[in-house]
Amino acid sequence: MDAAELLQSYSEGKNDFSGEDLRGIRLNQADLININLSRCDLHGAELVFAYLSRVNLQGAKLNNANLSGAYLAQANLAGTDLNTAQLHGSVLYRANLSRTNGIFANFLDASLVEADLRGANLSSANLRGACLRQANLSSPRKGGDRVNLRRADLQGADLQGADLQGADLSWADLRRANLKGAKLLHSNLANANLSNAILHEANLNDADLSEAILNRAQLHQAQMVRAVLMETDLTDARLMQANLTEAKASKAVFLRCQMHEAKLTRADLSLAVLRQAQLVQAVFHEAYLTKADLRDADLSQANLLKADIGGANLTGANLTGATMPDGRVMN
Amino acid sequence: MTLAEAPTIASVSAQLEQSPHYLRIKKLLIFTCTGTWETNPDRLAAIDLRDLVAQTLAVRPTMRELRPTLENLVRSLNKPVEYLPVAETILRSLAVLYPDEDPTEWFRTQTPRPQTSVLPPQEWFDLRLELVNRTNPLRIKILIARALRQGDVTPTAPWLTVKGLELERLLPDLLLACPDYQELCQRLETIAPQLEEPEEYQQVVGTLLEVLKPVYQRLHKLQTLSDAEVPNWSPPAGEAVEAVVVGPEPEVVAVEPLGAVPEPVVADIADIPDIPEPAMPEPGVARVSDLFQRELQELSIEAELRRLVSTAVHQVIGDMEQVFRNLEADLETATRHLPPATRYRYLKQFVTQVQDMADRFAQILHRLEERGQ
Repeated sequence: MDAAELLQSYSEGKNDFSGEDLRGIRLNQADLININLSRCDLHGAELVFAYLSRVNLQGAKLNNANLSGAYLAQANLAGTDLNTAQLHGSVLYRANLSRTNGIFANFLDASLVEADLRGANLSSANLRGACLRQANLSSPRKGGDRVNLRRADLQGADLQGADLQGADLSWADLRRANLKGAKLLHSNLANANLSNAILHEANLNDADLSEAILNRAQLHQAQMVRAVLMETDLTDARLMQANLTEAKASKAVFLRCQMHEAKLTRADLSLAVLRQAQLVQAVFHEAYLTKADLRDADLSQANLLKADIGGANLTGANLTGATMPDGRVMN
Repeated sequence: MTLAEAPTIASVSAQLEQSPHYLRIKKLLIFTCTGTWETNPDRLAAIDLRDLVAQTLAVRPTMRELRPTLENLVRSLNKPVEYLPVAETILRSLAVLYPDEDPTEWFRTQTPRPQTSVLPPQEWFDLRLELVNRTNPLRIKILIARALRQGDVTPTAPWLTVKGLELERLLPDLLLACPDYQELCQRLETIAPQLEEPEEYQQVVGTLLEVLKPVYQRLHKLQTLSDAEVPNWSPPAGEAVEAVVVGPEPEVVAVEPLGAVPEPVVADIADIPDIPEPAMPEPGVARVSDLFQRELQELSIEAELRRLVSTAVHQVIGDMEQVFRNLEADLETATRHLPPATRYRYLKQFVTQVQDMADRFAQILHRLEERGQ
């Protein structure tokens, strides 16, 4: 079926084109609202600026298709093949992209607000500047497919309030991304780059951030309970009032971090670099600080009760009013 | 082209001297080089155009720096319509003297540079959200790119040509290019009818203007100088110092060329026409508030540059200490049967070699600095 035939049938009221072979079809700017294209082969199709709101594309093959600027609000793209597809600047508001395969797909500056991306495979996809506010990218704790965003380019992406529980974001590029209030529990952010990212109030409990880069990241009031921060680079990050209870932060770098009132109870900070960190009123109750580098850190009024500071380097540190491991309060 | 035919400062200057706008060309170039608006006919005549062209090449070493400088200057004059073709003449003529610059590429490539700090990062996200919720993101990009003459926005497939551009950069660029709301309206409304499916772009223009209007209003209020008469807006100096952390990584963009920073506002500098007109304000005199604002901007740039350097130094020292510690541990293991002096000797060797490298960098920079003067 070619474009003219399809448009003719559609204008005559036909709506169901499911299972059709539409490879390479050119439907740029076409108005196809509500059309049923499920299971269609749309490989290499051109649908630039097409109006496809509420369209049914379930199970369709859209690999290599060009959907740049297409209106796909509330469209059903569940289980589609979007590998290497172009969705640059497309509107996918509240679209269903669950179990979609979008390896190397281009979602540059696309709107995916409130989209359902559960079980999607978007590894190495370009999601730069994409808006994913309140999108659902969660993965079940047991069984089911985990959202795969491994090595995805999410620079400057807006993921505020998005549900990314259990998502695989390892090696992802999240520089300057907005993850304010995002749910990142149990997510895998190992080796990810989160420099300059906004993570205020994000929930990173049990997340794996080992060897991730979080330079200048903003983590005020972030929840990082039991988070794995092994060899994580948090240089110049802001962690005021962050909760790092029982975090595994051995060899992590907190150089010059702003960590006023941070909670580090029972955290493993052995060999961690906390040099010049601002740790005023931070709580290190029962924390493990063996061989930690705390030179020139400001620990005034910090609570180090029962903390293990064996071999820690406190040269030049300000301990005014700090409670030491033995309960002594420094003058 | 043979060497003999290659354009030179002299040949370009000679060509400019033939222009009917010769004096205006001189005025624009003098301002570009010195920051002063020269109107005295004797002084204008005394300045050699060749020197001016040479100096322009030195102070604005790339086309990407010269173009916004001239555009901002023209915009701030009280005769922008008359001066725009003059600026274009300068750009066209001088383009041949920038060997690394292909003038056709000016608008195609997006210069990697940090976003300006006119708004906190969170607000940029909120702004983008509002826009993409109300209109098509790709059309926004095409429209802005066209308005800013970025990307090669051809009428046939504009979406292809904005593929390399990001909304994250285009929006702040638009705000910088249009310092006041009226100008924004004018620029966008001129572009929309020129694009394919103009009615679609009219909707985008309407949305952009509506969403950006409160931003402009708020930015005006934020101005540190409550000079109600200053017609043009420029980013509040305080915000620039704060260095809101939106934008590419400092490691990607070491130092922003000064040309990318909005030029000093010279809105009050009256342009004395070549044929004197009556009742013009005092020529060549910028108001104190303008000068103060300019100074604030310069200070904020300086503070930002210093901050970048200081951060980099801290990083290097931190890294170096780590490397030093690791090396010390490795040497300790490797030399455990030898006297400690051996370890210290090798550690010293490490420090000396790093020092040598730093000295070499310093020498290269010194040479570059001298050459640039």
